[in-house]
Amino acid sequence: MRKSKAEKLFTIVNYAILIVLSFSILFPFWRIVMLSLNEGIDSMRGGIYFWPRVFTLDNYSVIFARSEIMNAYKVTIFRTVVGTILSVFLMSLMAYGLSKRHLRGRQLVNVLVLFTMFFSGGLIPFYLLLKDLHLLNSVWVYIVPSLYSAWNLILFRTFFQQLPAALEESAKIDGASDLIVYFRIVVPLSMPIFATISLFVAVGHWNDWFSGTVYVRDPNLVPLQTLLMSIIRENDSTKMIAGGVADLSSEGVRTVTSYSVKMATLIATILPVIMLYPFLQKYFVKGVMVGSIKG
Amino acid sequence: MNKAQFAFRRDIWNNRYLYAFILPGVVWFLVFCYQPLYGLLIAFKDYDIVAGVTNSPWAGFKYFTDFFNDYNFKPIMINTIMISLLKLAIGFPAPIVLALLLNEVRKKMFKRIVQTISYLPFFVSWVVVSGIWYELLTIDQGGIVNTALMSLGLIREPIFWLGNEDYFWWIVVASDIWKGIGWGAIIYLAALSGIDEELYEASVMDGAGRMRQTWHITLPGIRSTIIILFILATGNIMNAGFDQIYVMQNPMVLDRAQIIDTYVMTAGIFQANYSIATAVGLFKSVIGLALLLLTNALVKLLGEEGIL
Repeated sequence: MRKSKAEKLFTIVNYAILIVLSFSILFPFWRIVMLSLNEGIDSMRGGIYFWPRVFTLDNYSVIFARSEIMNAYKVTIFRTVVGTILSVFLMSLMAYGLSKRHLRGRQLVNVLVLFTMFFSGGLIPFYLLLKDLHLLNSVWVYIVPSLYSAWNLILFRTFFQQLPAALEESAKIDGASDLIVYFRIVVPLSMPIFATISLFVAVGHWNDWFSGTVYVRDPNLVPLQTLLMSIIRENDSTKMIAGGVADLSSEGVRTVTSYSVKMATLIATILPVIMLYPFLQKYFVKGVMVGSIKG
Repeated sequence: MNKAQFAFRRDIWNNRYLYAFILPGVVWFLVFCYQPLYGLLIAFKDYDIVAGVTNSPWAGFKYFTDFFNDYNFKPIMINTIMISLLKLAIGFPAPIVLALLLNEVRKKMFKRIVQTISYLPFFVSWVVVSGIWYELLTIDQGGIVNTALMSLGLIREPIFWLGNEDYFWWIVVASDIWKGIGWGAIIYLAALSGIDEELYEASVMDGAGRMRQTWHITLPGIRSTIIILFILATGNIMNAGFDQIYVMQNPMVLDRAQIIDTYVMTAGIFQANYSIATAVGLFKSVIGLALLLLTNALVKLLGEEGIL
C-alpha cells in the first residue's frame, strides 16, 4: 500500500509539531538548570541558554548552607513520608471494606464519600474547623486534613473489586479473619495500586504550598514550596531595587546573586520529583487508566 | 430478641474487621467534609468567633447582597468567567489534539519520548511553574520569549509581558496548557487504544484517508470521554484555577487577576471577614454545582451518557 503525498506531508508536519512541543516544555527546565550551575554575576550578562558559561556549584552551596531551606526540607520530607504512609494505609483499609458487596451500609458510606467530590464547604468553614481542632500552626495540619480523598478511595476500591475472589474465600474457609486476609493476601496482590496511590499522595504533599501559606505562621513549620514562593517574590522585589546584585556578600560568596540562588532553589525543590520521575510516570499513567475505566 | 435482629447482629459481628476498617474514614469524612457544610451557616449569620457557628445571630442574605453590590463584584465575575471560558475554548481541546497527533505516530520510541517529556510539568507545583514562566517572559537580558521574538524580527523592543495586565489572561491560559497538555492527553490515548483496529482496516478497504478516519472512527471513539471531561470542566467554570492565579499574579496585573477564590482568600483569611468570605464561597459552589448538573442534563437530553 503506497502512501499518498498528502499523507507523507502530514507525517512530517506531525513530527515537527511534536518536536517543537517537546522542546518548548523541556527547554525552560533545562535553561533553569544551566542558570543554576552558572556564576550569578556572569549570568547577568545574559546569553546562557544551552550550557553554563562559568560553571560553579556555589549557588547550591549557598542554599544548602541556609538554615531555613534545610529546615523546610525537613518539614517537607516529614510530611511527605508520614502523610503518605498514614494516608495510603487508612484509605486502603476503608476502600477494602467498601469493596465488599455483602457489607451492610456500604452504599450509604459510598454516597457519603461521592458527595464530597461535587460539593464542599469551601475555604473559610474549613479554616475555622482547623482552628477549632487546634490544628493551625501545628505540623499535623499538613497530614490529618488530607488523609482521605474520594478520588483515591475509588481507585483503590475499583482495584480491590477486580481481585480474584477465590483466594480470599479459601483463606476465610481456613478460618482467617478479614484482618489476616487483608494483610496476607490483599496487600501483596495489590502492589501496583499501592505504588500508584502512594506516588499520587506523595507528590501532592511535596508540591503543596497552600497549607504552609494559610494554616501556618510558625517559621519553623514552613515547607519547601511555601518557602520557594516567598524566595521568588522576595527576589523579584530586591531585583527591581538592586538590579540583581544580591544581599549575599555577607555570606562570603561574591559570584552568587539572588537571581542565581533563586534558580538553584527552584531546581533543588524539584530534584526529588525528577529523580522519581521514571516511576512516577509509569504508575501515574496506570492510575489514570484504572480511573478512566470506571470513574 | 427476634430472629431478624439476631441475624443482623451476627452479620455485623462477622464483619467486625471490615467495619473497623471503614470507621476511621467515616469519622474523617464527617469531621473534615461534613462539619464544614454545617459551618456554611455563617454565610447567613453575623459570625462571632467567640459565640461560634450555632450561637451567632442571623443575618439573612445580607452578606450575599453586600457582595453583589461591591464595586469589585463585576470585575471579579468577569475575570473568573473569562479566564474559564478561554481555558475551555483553547485549553480543553489542546490535549485532544495532542492525543490525536500522537495517535498518528507509528514510531513507538518517538511517541514514548514525546509523552514522557510532555507530562513533566504536571508533576511540579504551580509555584515552580510560575518561577519557570517568570524566567521565560522576563524583560531582562535572556528572557527566552522576548529573545526569540526579537531574533525572528517580530518585535523590536522586549515586551513587558508580566507587567501588562492585557496579557495576564493569555499567560494564564498558555501556562495552563503548558502544564497540563501531556497529562490531559493520557486519558484520551487510553480511550483511543480501545478503538477496534478492524474499523480502520475496513475503512482503508473503502478508500478512506486519514482525515476521514479521524472524523468517522477516531473522534466518535473518544466521544464519551470528551463529553465526561467537558461536563466536569463546566463544573469548574467558577474556579478558574486558584493555585495558578494566586501564585502567578502580581500587583501590576491585579485588576485582571482577581477571581472569586482569591477574593475569598483575601477577605476571609487575611482580613478575617469570615461571613462575607463564606457567602462568596458558597455562591461560587452553588453556581458551580448548578452548571455541572445543567450540562449533565443537556448532554443527556442530546442522547449521550452523562456522569450522574
